[in-house]
Amino acid sequence: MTEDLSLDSEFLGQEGANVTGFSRMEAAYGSGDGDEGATAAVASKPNAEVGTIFEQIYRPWNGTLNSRWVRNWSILRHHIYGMFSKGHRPWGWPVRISLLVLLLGSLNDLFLSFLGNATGVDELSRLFSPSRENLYAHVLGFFPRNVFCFPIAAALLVGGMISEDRKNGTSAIYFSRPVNRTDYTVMKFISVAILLSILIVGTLAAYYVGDLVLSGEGWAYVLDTFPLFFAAAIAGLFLVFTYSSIGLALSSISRGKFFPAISLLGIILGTKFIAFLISQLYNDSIVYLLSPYDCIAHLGQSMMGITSTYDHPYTWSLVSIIIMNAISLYVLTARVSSMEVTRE
Amino acid sequence: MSLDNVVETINLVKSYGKHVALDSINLKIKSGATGLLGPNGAGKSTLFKTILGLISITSGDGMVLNHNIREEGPMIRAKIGYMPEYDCLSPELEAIHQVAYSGELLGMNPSIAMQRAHEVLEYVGLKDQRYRTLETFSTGMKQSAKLACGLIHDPELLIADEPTNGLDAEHRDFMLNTLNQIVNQGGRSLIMASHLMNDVERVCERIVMLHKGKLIAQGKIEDLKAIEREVEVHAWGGASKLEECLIDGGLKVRRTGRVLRVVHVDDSTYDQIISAAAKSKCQIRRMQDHEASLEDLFIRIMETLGYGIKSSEELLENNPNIKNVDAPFELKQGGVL
Amino acid sequence: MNSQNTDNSSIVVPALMLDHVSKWYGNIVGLNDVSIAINGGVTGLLGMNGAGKSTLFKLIVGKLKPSQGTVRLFGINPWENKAPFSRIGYVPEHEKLYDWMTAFDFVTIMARLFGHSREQAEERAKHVLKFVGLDDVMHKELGKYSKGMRQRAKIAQALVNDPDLIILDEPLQGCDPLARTTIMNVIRELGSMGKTIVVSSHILSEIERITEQIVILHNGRLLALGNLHAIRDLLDKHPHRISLTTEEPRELASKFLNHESVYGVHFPSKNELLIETHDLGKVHNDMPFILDNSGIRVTAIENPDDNLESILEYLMEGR
Repeated sequence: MTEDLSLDSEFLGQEGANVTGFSRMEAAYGSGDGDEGATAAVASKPNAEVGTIFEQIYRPWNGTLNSRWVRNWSILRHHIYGMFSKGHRPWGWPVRISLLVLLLGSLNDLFLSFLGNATGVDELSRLFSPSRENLYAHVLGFFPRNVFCFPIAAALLVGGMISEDRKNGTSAIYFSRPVNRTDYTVMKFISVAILLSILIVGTLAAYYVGDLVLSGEGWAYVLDTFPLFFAAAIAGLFLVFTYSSIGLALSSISRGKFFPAISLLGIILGTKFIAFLISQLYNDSIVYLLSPYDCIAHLGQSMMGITSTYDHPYTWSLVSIIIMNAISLYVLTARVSSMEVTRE
Repeated sequence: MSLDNVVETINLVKSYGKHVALDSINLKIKSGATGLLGPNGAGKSTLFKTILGLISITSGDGMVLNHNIREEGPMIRAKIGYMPEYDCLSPELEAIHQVAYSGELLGMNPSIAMQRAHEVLEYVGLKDQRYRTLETFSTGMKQSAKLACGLIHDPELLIADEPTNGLDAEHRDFMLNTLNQIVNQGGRSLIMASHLMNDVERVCERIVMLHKGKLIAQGKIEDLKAIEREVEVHAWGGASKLEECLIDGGLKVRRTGRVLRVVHVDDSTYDQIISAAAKSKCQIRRMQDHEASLEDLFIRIMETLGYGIKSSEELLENNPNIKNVDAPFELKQGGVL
Repeated sequence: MNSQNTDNSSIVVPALMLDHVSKWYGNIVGLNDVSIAINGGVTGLLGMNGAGKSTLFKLIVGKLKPSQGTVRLFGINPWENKAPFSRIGYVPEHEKLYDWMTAFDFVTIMARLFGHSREQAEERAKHVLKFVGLDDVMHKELGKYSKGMRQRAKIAQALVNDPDLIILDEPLQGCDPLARTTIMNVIRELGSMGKTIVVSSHILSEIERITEQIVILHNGRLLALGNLHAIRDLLDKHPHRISLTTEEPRELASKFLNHESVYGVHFPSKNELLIETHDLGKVHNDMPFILDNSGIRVTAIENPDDNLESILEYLMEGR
């Protein structure tokens, strides 16, 4: 090592030092020492190709970058607008069509109530108009919505949410920018929640308001029924929140989109089914505490003043559901914080 | 800390438990293009994460574009463009939308992000393909798209991690020219991590070299090189005689096959080589000053640290019985070339 | 690259032989009437993406059957008989490794597949992993490896049974200069020991460092085959050029003008003399004498287009 402080160099911690010695020599295979005896053959040529030229000019940009909430909003936009238009997160067509079908299916009580009113068939309008039981049934009735529509919709929505960023490596795009991991998680959560709320609570509102308008009820009716509607809506939001948190936690564990979807369905319907079996065999409803749907249904019953179908007190269901959400959110945040930007 | 260093660290240490990933690094990266070199496992990834303000450092300090890496991580990430080594693009999105989204994530207004996305995709040569989905892109196009995501906000400093990975000659050329342009025409700074010394030399004037978490060398490539100046000669038909002749003439020579290297004493060395060739009736197909390349520098540095180049003897020594599945008939091989 | 040995008492079976091999996939032609015989030494395989290189490799390792023609490894058809595979090492370009395995387990299993006992396989694995420089991380999972390390693990796996035929598809990707130079070194040496090695790469300068024997494919056809200088010689539409750097180019030029093989001289820049000739060997033969006697100092001699890049450029003209 020689040292010369006029040099812009540093070697092994010494300024001005540089690298001396001899560089490596090598000779290609076949180069030998004089190449007689080498043979070669060249084929003849076919057709021509066209080339292109274009000019490359660097264009600077002096704009300003907006704050954190504008960034967060763009994450939300990307996921939600993607459901409805091109240029954002590409939700697949099968997913979009299925969700549309589920949306229409969830409005069946509105259609039937309307049909009742329109045709004057009293039975129909009595059966399907918004009442305590019907409002409850819209969000928390097991059959048909909570066995067919809502869990499947949730599964479709959470499928690739987090796992695709892991799989495609797009987490590097998010986190190499000033996007906070918390913000990322929260925005993804909110986008799933909003879409799921449209399906669960949005259809509830459409049902309630739609029927109100179509059957021409008065203010007294509204005063009576609004608290029930409100309670049902809150219960619906609990459902949305819980399915979203469990679903996203599952999505953060895997790299594919089927595992989270199927697992979510498995958890929601499976726990319900097992609890049902056990309650039939042993006449004890305690195992329902493990089923997210049932805990929320129980809470919904107590909020809306419907007779409880469970033996245990509703506070237990409340605690259970809080625990389930806490676990899911913990798993979600832990997995998101392990997502890579570079890799070694 | 000096203002014209784009990245500066003081005794930066990052350890994961007992494993020290970065050991008291004192980086001074100036503006312009700097290559980041180092064998695998040297700590480059960890260094990037630290520079991007993504991980907490164990001790020491660092500044990137005059922002502190401990406290101002998001600010730094708003001013840096990062082009990751691995895949990071959504396959089902069109290129234009992916690039625009990456701008929005920085906080750009959607309409401005879209306009810039068009500009920047044209700049990287993807103007005609910008409406196609990324899964239809070839490797070369994907690399350009990644570059576009890193450039959308016209950052002062671009970090490119193996930008020519998997590119064929034509695309490599284009990528390197583009990077050159960004530095020279755009006046931006670049840190380029790569294993291909030729590529680094084309673009960067300076380098930083890491090994096992330590900073081995940094500075201008030209100033770091003090390797013996030699003249390289490719001889045809009589290399050994030429070598003898040159040695007799008092020159220091080393030879491998028909490649010789003669230590350059002064300009008369060339004359001596030619006379020796005439005397030994040997052809000289090539005679050039051997400029130690960046690759030579790298290898020489590793040799200084004790890592030599291995040979096939080391591969084949201590050979337990090699098992051969017998072919149905005997093969006798002819002469070896 | 046919064997130089014309001794009739021994049968010479090339390590690798393709005889009028064509392969098509529906309407797409992968390879079109390709005939090559390689026996020993290092051969570089060049061609753009889509030229047919991967088809060629798949045919060699028995993953594909030729639509026409025959493929033989050590005289055996690899599609029908798996016997030659114990003598082959193959390093594919993109292949998913078993991310959950450690490098040590991976290479050991490969060695066991060749019939070694467990102890032998483990020894051999350790040895070859040490050789490629992965000994201190060999018990880490492959999924945690960087690209260069994965590359070296693949190479280790290919070398573990000391193969006679080694096929390497873009082997140096992601390797740092030390690993790259080591691997190039080993390839050259194994080649001079008589093993047959075929290396494919996009990076022409790397191929040039490794070998002068090349095969060039284009659109599924063989475009050129042989020693690169000999190939260059055959491209007589492009006369050879010799560039001499000197302070007196015009005076120097006058010394060459009478030479029978020199047909033109140019002065591309102030200090450069460019000689054009159709007989490179003859001019170079006489050159040292001419220069020595001229008393004019020359500081550099170069054949600017006697390299892979120029050869490819000339061959690709009009294609």
